[in-house]
Amino acid sequence: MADQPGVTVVDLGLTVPDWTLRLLLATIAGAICAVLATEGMPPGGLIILGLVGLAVLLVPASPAAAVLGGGTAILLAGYGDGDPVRPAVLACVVLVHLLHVVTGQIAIVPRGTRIHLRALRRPALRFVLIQAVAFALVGLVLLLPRAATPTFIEVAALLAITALAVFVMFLLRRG
Amino acid sequence: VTSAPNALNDRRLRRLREVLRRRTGRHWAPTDALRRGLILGIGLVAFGALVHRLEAVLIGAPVLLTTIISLVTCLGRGSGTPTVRALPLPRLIEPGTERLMIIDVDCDPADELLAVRLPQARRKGPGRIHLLPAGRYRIRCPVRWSEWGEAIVMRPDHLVASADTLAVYGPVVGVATRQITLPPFDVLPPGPLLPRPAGLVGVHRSRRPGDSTELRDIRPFAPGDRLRRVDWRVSLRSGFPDAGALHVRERHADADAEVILALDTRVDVGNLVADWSRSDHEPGLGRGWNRGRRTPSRGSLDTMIRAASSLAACYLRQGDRVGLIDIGRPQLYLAPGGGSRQLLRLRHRLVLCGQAAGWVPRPVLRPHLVPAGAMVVVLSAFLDDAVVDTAVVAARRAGLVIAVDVLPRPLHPDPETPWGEAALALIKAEHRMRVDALSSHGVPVLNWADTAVSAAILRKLALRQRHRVARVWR
Repeated sequence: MADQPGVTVVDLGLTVPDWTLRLLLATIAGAICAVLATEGMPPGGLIILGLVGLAVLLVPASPAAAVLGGGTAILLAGYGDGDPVRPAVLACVVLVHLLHVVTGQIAIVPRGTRIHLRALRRPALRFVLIQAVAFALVGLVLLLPRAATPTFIEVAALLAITALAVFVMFLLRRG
Repeated sequence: VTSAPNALNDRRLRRLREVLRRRTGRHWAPTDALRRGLILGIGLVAFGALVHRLEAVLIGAPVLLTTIISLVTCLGRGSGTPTVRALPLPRLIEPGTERLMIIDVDCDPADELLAVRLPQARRKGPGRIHLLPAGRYRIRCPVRWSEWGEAIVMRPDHLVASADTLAVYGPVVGVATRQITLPPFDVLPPGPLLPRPAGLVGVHRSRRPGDSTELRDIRPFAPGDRLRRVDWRVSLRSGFPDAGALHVRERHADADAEVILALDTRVDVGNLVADWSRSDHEPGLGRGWNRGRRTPSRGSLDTMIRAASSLAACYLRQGDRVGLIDIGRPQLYLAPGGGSRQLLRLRHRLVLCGQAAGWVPRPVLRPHLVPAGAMVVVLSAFLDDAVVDTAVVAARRAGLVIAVDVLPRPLHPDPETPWGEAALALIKAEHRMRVDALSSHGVPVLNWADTAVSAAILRKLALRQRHRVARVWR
């Protein structure tokens, strides 16, 4: 590939240490706990979630992140005052997604890694795009009437989710 | 009939390759992020739909969406495997020179992140991991090292991640590139040498008459003398052609000299006496008595290697022949030779001596390895009597032996024991006795403190040696 046309030559540019990503992850976990605290979450539950957040920080490639994200959503649903589109939920839409993305990146880099900022451009763009879609969904929820959903739509949604789950299981089994 | 066993063998071979490929990490594997994204996304959406809570659906939707998009991107990637390859480098390099290390990266456009180990600019070793965007490009890493020795300078271990790190290829251990950084040498003045007719050319005065410009004697003409050597002024003054005889000017011949550098690599000590008996090595303090890894440091071994390199360069520059003996490892002997290639060979051998350094109870300086009339330079920290005996025996056999003391100065006592000062005083006294013993046997001892001091002492030794030689031959 030496001196071939079309091959870009890259000099190592601006980097940040890997602990900046870990710091970001800690901030996200802390922010999730803070949001839940504003929702009236008891201190015991917050401590447990904080410990799970610590586990995410120490072992990113573990189910702890799924527990933290899932637990946050379930607790928000359980402790909610009835309005599904309140600021705490909107904050968690961003935070849980960010938790998922950042945990994935931290899991593949060992300690002492230098992170080049241009490496994060594509994930950041995708994050922004998907958040835009998610907030469009939120807008749609706000526009739709709050009446009970027809039964056939609920059944169709559950069937679609089941089909998706079966497809995913098939993919995971294939490896 | 023969195709069935072949097909079976092919299948076995394929299976074996598959197993090996999986063990080396050269395959795509799903990560926790994929499982988390699918389980969390589907789980939250299903949970929200079942319990009629939109909060769970709204939180789970972006996670599910990003996972599905990334999964589709990942499945749609080409079949080619990512490759990260370092371009070959020269095996030997000079210290302090800037090198450009180049690594070719060839990944599918669908791949997103590349974690690759790249060399550090000023530190030897495989380097640290860098997280870069995946793609098809070439990475340039400028590096500059001042430490001599052999080391792994590049090993592009790598891991490629798909979108959202749902799947990874690797980690793959890269092919290690080793390089030898030659020891540096300082410019020294011409050192003391014993004249001997070892060759036909050189810069040192030989005992033989020859054709140099230096006057040796004026004597009466004898049959065989050339007419161009006749000194007409002296001849006329002596009465020629009436009564006196014809006189001729006799000149010295030029000759090269042979120098043997005898290295005592059995010991590597630093300034702190407490570290001499420690098993772990602290950079810059030497490694104590034959332990620790053989990486160069600013201990006595490092000083010795640099001094030997400088002396070799000094003597080779003036046309002499220089050889090398490691008195701890005689098998690393390098026969005397001249020229720039010999300097390269010698510096390379010095690196090997530094790597193989280790304690042996008895230093070996075999007489047949030292050419007759060669000058021997013994480089040692002189911390045991055996090396002193070796130097003295060599001085009896060879014409000129110079001892170069590479013991670091100043020495610091062990602060953790009340006997530290006493132990240091004892070490210093023993060392002084050894140096005195060498001097009393006619072996001048040169303390290799730094280049400037060493150069001054060398110049003084050279002058003293010249006077001594002049006295001997008159």
